[in-house]
This record gives sequence, C-alpha cells and structure tokens, in this order.
Amino acid sequence: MNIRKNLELFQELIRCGHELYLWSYSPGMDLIHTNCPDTEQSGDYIFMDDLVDHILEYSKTSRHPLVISTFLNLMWVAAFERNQGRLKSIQILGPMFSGANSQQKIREMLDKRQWSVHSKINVLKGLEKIPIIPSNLLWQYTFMLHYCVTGERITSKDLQYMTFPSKEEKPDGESIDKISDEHLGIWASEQEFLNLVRAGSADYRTALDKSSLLSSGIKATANDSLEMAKYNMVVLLTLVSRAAIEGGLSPAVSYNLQDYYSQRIIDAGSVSETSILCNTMLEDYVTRIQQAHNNMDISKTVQSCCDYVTTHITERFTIDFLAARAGYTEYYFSRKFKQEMGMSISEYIKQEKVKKAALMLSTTTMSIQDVSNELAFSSRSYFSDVFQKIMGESPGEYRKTHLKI
Amino acid sequence: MLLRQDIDTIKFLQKVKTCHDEVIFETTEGDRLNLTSTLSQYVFCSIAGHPDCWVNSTITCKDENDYQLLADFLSDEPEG
Repeated sequence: MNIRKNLELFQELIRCGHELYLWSYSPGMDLIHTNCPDTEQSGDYIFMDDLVDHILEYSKTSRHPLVISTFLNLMWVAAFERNQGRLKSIQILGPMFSGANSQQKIREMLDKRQWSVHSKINVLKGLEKIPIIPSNLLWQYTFMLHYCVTGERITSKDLQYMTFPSKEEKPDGESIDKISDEHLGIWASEQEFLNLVRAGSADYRTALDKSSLLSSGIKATANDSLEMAKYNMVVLLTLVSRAAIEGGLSPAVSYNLQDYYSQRIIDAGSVSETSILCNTMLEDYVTRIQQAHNNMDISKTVQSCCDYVTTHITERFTIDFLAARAGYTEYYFSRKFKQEMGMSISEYIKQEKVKKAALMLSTTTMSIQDVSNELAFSSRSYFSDVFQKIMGESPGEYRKTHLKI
Repeated sequence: MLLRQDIDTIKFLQKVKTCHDEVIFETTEGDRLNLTSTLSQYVFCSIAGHPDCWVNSTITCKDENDYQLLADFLSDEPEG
C-alpha cells in the first residue's frame, strides 16, 4: 500500500468538497508538510502546540484515530501511521467546525474585548474560511484517513475523543448547519437500530452507524452545536429507554437510567463529551437488556433459536434444521419451544417474518411480491394470508395506513 | 518596545509562551491583546498577515526580564 499516494489522493478528494487541510507531522510532532496555503494565519500552530504532549501520549497506547475538540469548538482528527509497530507519522486533518459557525457567538466574544472593527473583521474573515463539517461526514473522513495510513477499516466505535479548553474559557459551541432536507430512509434505519436495542443485540452499533450516515440529527437551528448535540442525545435517549422497556428491561430501571443520563447530557461541556456519553449510554442500556433477557424463563437454547431466526429472517427454515442446530430431536425441541415461548416454532417464524414485512411495507416502495420473495414465502397469496391473520389487514391495506417514507 | 514587522509569528508566539508574565500587544488603533490568552493569540495570527494593522505596534512585558527573551523580535525605533 502506497501511503503517500493514498494521502495525496485523499487530500485532493477532500478539497473537492471542503477547504480542509492535511498536516503531516513527524513522530516528534514537527510539521513536515501541509497543503494549507497559509500556515501562519491559519492559527493551527496555536492549538497544535498545546496538544502535542497529549497526542503523543495517546499514540503510545492506541492506534485508532483521535477526534480533538479545542477552543471555539474547532476540531481536528489525528490518524497515526506506523511501520512495524513504530510511529512513523501523525496525519492531522483540520481545522473544522462541527456545525454552522455561530459568528454571533464569536462576535460577542470579540465585542467583550472591544477590539477595533479592523481586527474583528480580520478574525471573522479567517473563521469564515474554516469549513463546517457535519458529524456524520467527519466520521467518514476519519475512517478514510485511517484507511489511507493503515489499510484498516474501522467504525465509529473505534474513534476516541479528546477535549481541550483554552486557558481562559471553555470552548463555545456553534449551531449545526442543515445538510439536507431529505429524511429518506431514516425511519427504516431507526427502526432497525431500535429493534436491535430491544433484542439486546451487540449489532446495534452497526445499525446506528448506518442511521448516522443518513442523518446528522434534528433538522433545526439551535444557538450552537453543543446545544444541538444535546437535543439529539435527548431524543436518542428517549427512544432507547422506551425500546429497552419493550425489550424486557423493567420500566423503573429504564426511567432511572434516563434521568441519570439526562442530567449528564445537561452537564456535558463539549460536543466530544456528548459523543463519549452517547457510547456509554448505549452500551449501558444494551448490557442491561441482555441481562434482563438472561433472567427471563427462556432457556439459552430457545433464545439462541429465536436470535437465529431474527438474524436470518430472509431465509426459509425447517423445524428439523432448527432442532438439529439446537442439538435436539424435532419432537422434543418443538415441545420445549412451545412451553417456553407460548407458541410453536412455525408460529414464531411467521410472526417474525410478518414483523419484518410490516417494516418493509411501511418504509420502502418494494412491491408486495418482492416483500414476499425477500422473506422466502412460497407464494404471494400465502404471504398475504399469513400477514392478514397476524396483522388483521392485508399487506396492501397495511401499507396504505402505515407508509412512512 | 516596538514589534518588528519582519518577524516569524510562530517563533514569536513560541517565545511568548516562555515568558514569565503577561505580554501585551497593542496596535496603533488601540487594540490590546494579552498574548497569553488563546483567543488573543488567534487574533494576533489573523492580523499577522496584514502588516498595515500592526505597523508601529508595541509590546509591553509585565515582567521586565521578559524583554530579554523577546529581544530578537523587538526594536526601539519605528519602522518604515
């Protein structure tokens, strides 16, 4: 893998969309190269100088990228190039804002100091040059930068965050810009994510990443990006706490957790801190849901069978196959399943397929025939019969009343 | 003391960080920047590319000994 060529191409591709620069540092954090045309005026040096020790300390123990928030909520991303385990270079992308530059906030800061109009204009002109990168796009650029220098694919859970306030004041936030008025596909991906939370599945992270690629959150303008990040987190917390109850967590526990995390969201001081808090909150809820599942009167064998059906829902099953998979005879496993779940295996399979079909009917424009084929029903008419029996209406009627694209 | 116009701003700010007390940069327009503050350093960098903003601007060190540290960047005489 030619890392230098990767980085050159990466820089050029980024510049197609944003005035976002790459800074290459030696292992001792000496600047080797940058494509920023104005290194002195960019002020990048001011922040890097304070961050050197922290970045180097971080690089000793982690190989994953570091997302850094500093003064004025300026952000950088650092990726680490290694050669046979030894740090070879540090590639830093930035500076950028995570949301729309709340120039009003910065003007207020400048006004407090009563500087001349000339100086303020120069500062604001400089700030206008700094690109605004929504968080979901920031993640994508980070994944790509890491891939350029390591050849390794990562996800959002691999990112680490660091926040550095300035000497005199904590960083201010700024509002998040609208990136799109489109909400296409968000409902489906949200439901997929929440279903995995309900199931206590560790795959929720993948579904959340997918949902994040479609949307960076609520499409509204707040005073600053920190406030916006908090609103988005409160929405997520509310959805997850209800999904947790549906997944088997006791309401008392779920509401207590919601209160606890709500306070922590209110107290968060930076966008990076809300990201870290989000990971903690999700992991906490999903772990508790898993524990709740374990405590239920359902054996691991039957639970494993249910998990298998859920994750292979587009396939055709035989009871013989599921029983053999569990290590039982068909007769014994069918009885065991019915005793514990209150329904036969084939009823459970139909129920799960119809649930998935309902989601597909309400969130996509797939034809009913295609939905039937996708879920491995033997025919459209059989699918319609099963759907009608379970949902009380035909697939077509259901779509008419529930379509949410 | 006056700040020379031909300085390397990055090296200058690095030197300011080694000073023992406040270092005040003042322009002829009356802007006062305490260069120990991050915001002020950022403002300083923003105006560094516009020499007309800081010709004959002054540096005042709260600790007299700091003038010695910044000697390479300072001048007694006005420039231009």
